[in-house]
Amino acid sequence: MSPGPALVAALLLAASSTRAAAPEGEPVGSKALDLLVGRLSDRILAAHPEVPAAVGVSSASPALGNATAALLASRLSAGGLPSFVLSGEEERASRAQAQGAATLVHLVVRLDGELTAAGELRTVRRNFWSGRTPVSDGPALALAASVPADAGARMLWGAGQGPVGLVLHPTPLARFGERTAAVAAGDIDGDGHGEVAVLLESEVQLIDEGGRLLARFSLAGLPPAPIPVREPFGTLCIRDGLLEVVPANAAGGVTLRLTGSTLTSTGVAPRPTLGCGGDSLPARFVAGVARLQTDGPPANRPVWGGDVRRGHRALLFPDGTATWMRAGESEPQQIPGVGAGGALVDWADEMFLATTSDAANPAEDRLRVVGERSSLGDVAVPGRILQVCRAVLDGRVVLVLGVWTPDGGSELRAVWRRP
Amino acid sequence: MRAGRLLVLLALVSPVAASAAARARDGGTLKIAVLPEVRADRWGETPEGAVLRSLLAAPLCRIEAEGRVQPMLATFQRTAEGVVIVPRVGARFPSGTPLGAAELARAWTRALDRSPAARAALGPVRDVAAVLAQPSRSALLVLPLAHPWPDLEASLCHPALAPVAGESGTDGIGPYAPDGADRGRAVPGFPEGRPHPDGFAVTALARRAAQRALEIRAAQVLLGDGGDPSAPALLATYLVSRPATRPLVALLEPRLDRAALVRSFIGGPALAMPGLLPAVLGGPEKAAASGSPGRGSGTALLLYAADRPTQRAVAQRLQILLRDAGVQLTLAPRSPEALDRDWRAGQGDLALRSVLLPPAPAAALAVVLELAGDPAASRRELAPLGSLADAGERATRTRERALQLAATLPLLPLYVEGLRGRLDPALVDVRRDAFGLWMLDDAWWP
Repeated sequence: MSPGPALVAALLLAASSTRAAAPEGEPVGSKALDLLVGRLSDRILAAHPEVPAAVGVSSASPALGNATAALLASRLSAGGLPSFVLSGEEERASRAQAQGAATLVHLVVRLDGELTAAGELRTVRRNFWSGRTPVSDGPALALAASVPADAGARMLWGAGQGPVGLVLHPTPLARFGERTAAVAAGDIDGDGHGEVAVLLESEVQLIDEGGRLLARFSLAGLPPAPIPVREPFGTLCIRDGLLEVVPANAAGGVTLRLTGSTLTSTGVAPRPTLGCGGDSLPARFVAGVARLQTDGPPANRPVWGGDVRRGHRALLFPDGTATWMRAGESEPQQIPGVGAGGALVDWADEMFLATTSDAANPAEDRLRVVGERSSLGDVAVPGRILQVCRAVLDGRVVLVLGVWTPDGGSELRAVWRRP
Repeated sequence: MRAGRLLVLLALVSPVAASAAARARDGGTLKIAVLPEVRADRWGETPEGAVLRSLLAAPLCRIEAEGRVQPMLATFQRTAEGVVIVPRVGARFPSGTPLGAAELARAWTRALDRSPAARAALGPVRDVAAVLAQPSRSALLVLPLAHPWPDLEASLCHPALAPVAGESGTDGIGPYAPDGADRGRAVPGFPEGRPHPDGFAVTALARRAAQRALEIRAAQVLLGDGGDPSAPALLATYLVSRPATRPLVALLEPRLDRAALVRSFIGGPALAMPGLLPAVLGGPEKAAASGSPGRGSGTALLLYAADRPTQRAVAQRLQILLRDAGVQLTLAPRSPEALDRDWRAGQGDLALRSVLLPPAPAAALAVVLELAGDPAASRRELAPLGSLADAGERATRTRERALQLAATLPLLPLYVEGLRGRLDPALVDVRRDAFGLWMLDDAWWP
């Protein structure tokens, strides 16, 4: 079954605006969307509605809405129900009637783990016997279908969402039964693909770009810290092909090397650092609390995190403020209302600082991204973001978030920038 | 108008400025209000009592809601023989004595004497009395198993096995150390890290006063009132009987409306329990049809726990139901410890027994069989279940056996209760474990 010309046009339109966002090597198109529309059109055609039909689709992502509407209209027309796409959101029934339709198909499409469409089919023809019954009332047939999402559907969903320049990947990269204590990214095996390392309460996991587990290392053998910390906390760094792990609950850290699918200790004990490059800041844990004290200034002012990248330095303080010392500038920028997670990220030659909210227990946290010259606004993330990390996945610079979920577990989410 | 706008603006701005707290804040005193019956539950046998007691006497481990065993005071290692218990560094009594094999053995010997849940948890250990009588001199306690028992780790997380040094029930190893009768102070070296507040304070209040204290935020936690019906409910109550008293139970059963009993006399987050296992462990939701109410005669003595208001109400209800059947039931109140001791010593014809079941079907059935009081039959039942390594298969087989055993065991299942409690909504990070108990030691507030 080949997609209709309207779909191709819609997909090309979507693709042209989101080319950079599309993971490389994935076809621009969606079998999931094809399947979803197939189920809906079967249901609609089986009801033998009056011709012609107007198809209106709402979605938080206009690209996904447009693609669904175009594909459904062409599928219905091919199935013997002449149909056209109804644009706009307001007064659908009366506009469909005004444009000569006898039937209105109205759907809402969203992607929430699964690609889901729900809505109704109703007649908008009014004759003498209808009296003054408005076209928005009257009998309707409920429509609903749901299929597993695929990369194409996710791309369409992510492509046109919201007015801001940040997009949250709709599905977590990985889920854990424990809390995340630290997240780091880098190319540990030098194969050109990024890996993400996650420090959990009892182990370290290394996962690949697609969220698959590459290797794990249990921390059970590490001697415990003399004064343990209740909150999961620590630092991670991938550099020179090695993974440096420093859990706050252990007396010392461990440096790991990836050989095949096993992580083995090199015997070198790393120190905690803020940032992970050559200019990273050495630090030490404050005993008994989830805080770090940097060796340099500011002295006696512990932080709950920070980052160093290309001469920029960001520090996140437990009073909810962040300071951003920019490369070549002497006066740091102060940012209020900042949470425990933060990272510097370079997007298109501009440095940005991504931070979380300082709310104590939000059902939905916000990742806020401000740049040297511009702001990318914010994006809502369900759960509590405790870690933010810049990563290169599928050749794109993204932010990987360590998010604590209300069930006591955690997940990794990815946020990218819409061009 | 302008002043009004300013107020709105202040209202919008000030909480943000005051609540910068994406990570936990340390400090303050956690204020807990408890009803008198919670205070009376010294050994933490009810969910509320167990939550309160765990602040001073933590269990060896926690079972997370999704089933993962999280070490608290000790880790477990499986060997060919059985299980080795390895106390964690920092697991020390307030006196400074570290937790070792000898301390654990002493605490468990006393727990075996007192608690059916403890006897059931250690039931699969080969010759448990001898193992506990001669623990090794090292810190490790080796538990050889008489038959395979995959649920041993989960069973060892039961609050009844929380190690205590003395006879007080709260002389254990907790995130807090006692600081007077009603207070505790944070222990910096606790293996899971110090709790975020500097201390806690408990006040025993009547129901209305406790509710009011929570409303005006004079208390942040209320134990004994309220509750969440969707949380696991595992405090199961059974009517146990002597063989000679079985005809009385047969008279009672057709007259018993468990749902009405729960509605009128139990209240809170409670459910009728028609099968040996509660619904949350896969027990049946409807009782098997029983015969028409007959009549009998005679007298019987019913033991019940005097400190539990619900048990007293249910005992009185059973008294009325049996009087209708022509049987005179005499009620004999006991303290919870005396109830277990006296029943096992042969006192009474019937007894109300409430026990917090472990959140694993096979381990829960072990507790039910322990209440039935025939160790040889227990072992015969449990060994084949333990040989099923797959948890799902074991659970299914356990439920089948529980249905078959219901007709033969001298236990009449009555109802199951969950944790009664309310929280200040400002408290952060208070989750429930698989027992449905709040893990209060993670609590903090902005």
